[in-house]
Amino acid sequence: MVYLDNAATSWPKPEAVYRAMVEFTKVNGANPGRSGHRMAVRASEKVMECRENLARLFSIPDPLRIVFTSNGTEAVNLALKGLLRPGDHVLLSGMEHNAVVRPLKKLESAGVELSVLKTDPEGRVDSADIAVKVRPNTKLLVVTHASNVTGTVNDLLSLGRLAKEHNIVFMVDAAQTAGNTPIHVGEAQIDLLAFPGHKGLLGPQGTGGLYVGEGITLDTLKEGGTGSLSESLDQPDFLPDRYESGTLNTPGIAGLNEGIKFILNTGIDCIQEHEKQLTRLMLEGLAEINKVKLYGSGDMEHRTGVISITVGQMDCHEVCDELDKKYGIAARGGLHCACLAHKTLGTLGSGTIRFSVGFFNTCGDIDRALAAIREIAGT
Amino acid sequence: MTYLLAVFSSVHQVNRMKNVLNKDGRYFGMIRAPHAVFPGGCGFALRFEESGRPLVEQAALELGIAINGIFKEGKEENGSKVYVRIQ
Repeated sequence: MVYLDNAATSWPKPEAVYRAMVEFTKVNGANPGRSGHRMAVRASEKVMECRENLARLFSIPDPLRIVFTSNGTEAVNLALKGLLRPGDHVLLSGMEHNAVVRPLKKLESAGVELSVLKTDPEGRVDSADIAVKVRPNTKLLVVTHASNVTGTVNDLLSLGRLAKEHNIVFMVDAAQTAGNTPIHVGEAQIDLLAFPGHKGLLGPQGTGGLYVGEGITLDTLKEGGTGSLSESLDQPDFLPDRYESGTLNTPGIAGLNEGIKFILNTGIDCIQEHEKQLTRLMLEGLAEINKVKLYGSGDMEHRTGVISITVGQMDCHEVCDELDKKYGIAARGGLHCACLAHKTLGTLGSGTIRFSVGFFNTCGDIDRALAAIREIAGT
Repeated sequence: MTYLLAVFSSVHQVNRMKNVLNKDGRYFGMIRAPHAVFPGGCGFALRFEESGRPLVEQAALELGIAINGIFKEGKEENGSKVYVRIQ
């Protein structure tokens, strides 16, 4: 199988990820932060090790401000529902995933106001539109770092600076960039960073997290046992306990920790360069195939390895089905849980065929995908 | 050897403290805070030699982590442990 669906979840994972999950479950599978025996202590140390490695990767000064969640969507929900109140106004990009749009639409029904920022034809936020749409009650600017449909990357430095100029909270959905694109929360002035653990961070499904910046107070999504302040009937007010009620996915976090260590040891620049090389090869090959229409940016410096195409008038799901059954290639067709992005791109009616490269893909994988698309397109 | 316990609200705080302090080659262990020093029953504590107290206080200050109390560990004649609050 040629796996080109890394935007949905990365595969394969580094061997150490599989090993760590099995070893943790078999040897130290106790509940972190509850009991005081050695297995429970080791489990809690593993959780902290992962938190510290995440802090290293994103240049977060205080690892205790990283909250583990079950995926990126839960992190986004915690951030949005924890922060926003009726009467608040939110600026969002026109390329957001449903993970951001759906919680916001629910909040809108409760009195939160939304404004969608203009984007350029490649899907990049038009930062000049912020000054046009900002209001006195604007509380939040939320943007995807990179589109899960086109791979187009937003300029976080510029957007973070504008958010601070307007005194609004800056939130980034790093679902498509965490692990393959450098992110520095301080330099980009990010207040809230939501990320999945199972995509670019190379961890298992069921992992994710939210960085909550200094000075940001969120309401909780859930309350319950945290292993701390058990004498109190009220939820702790310190991080990460405030937002981590219930037993953590510790086997998953043990695996995620190994994924992050792999990235730190390999070097995120090296990972990014490899994925850029594959993306360039794919884009150049696709551009030569008649009937193929490419979406998103051709500028390799401002895009990730997510590539969306249409092939003439062919049904995107049927093309993906053929890619799978006839050529052994995993790609994703449709709207990619991002109807707002497809509306912005004008592909809401047709959807697109999405290829997404990962660090473990090779040039040979790209050659096979290009050959398959050539045959399918009949050229 | 006299040992002290610095009590914190959460296992995450103690692990963070421990990882920072143990980088200097000294040993700061983590234990469940005994009921006598943390009646809630869910606290965790750093256990360390008395001479390490300034390092613990400094690290807590730098990391912005609140210490709920520092206790000196001792033993009664019958061998049971006693804890005297010193902060």
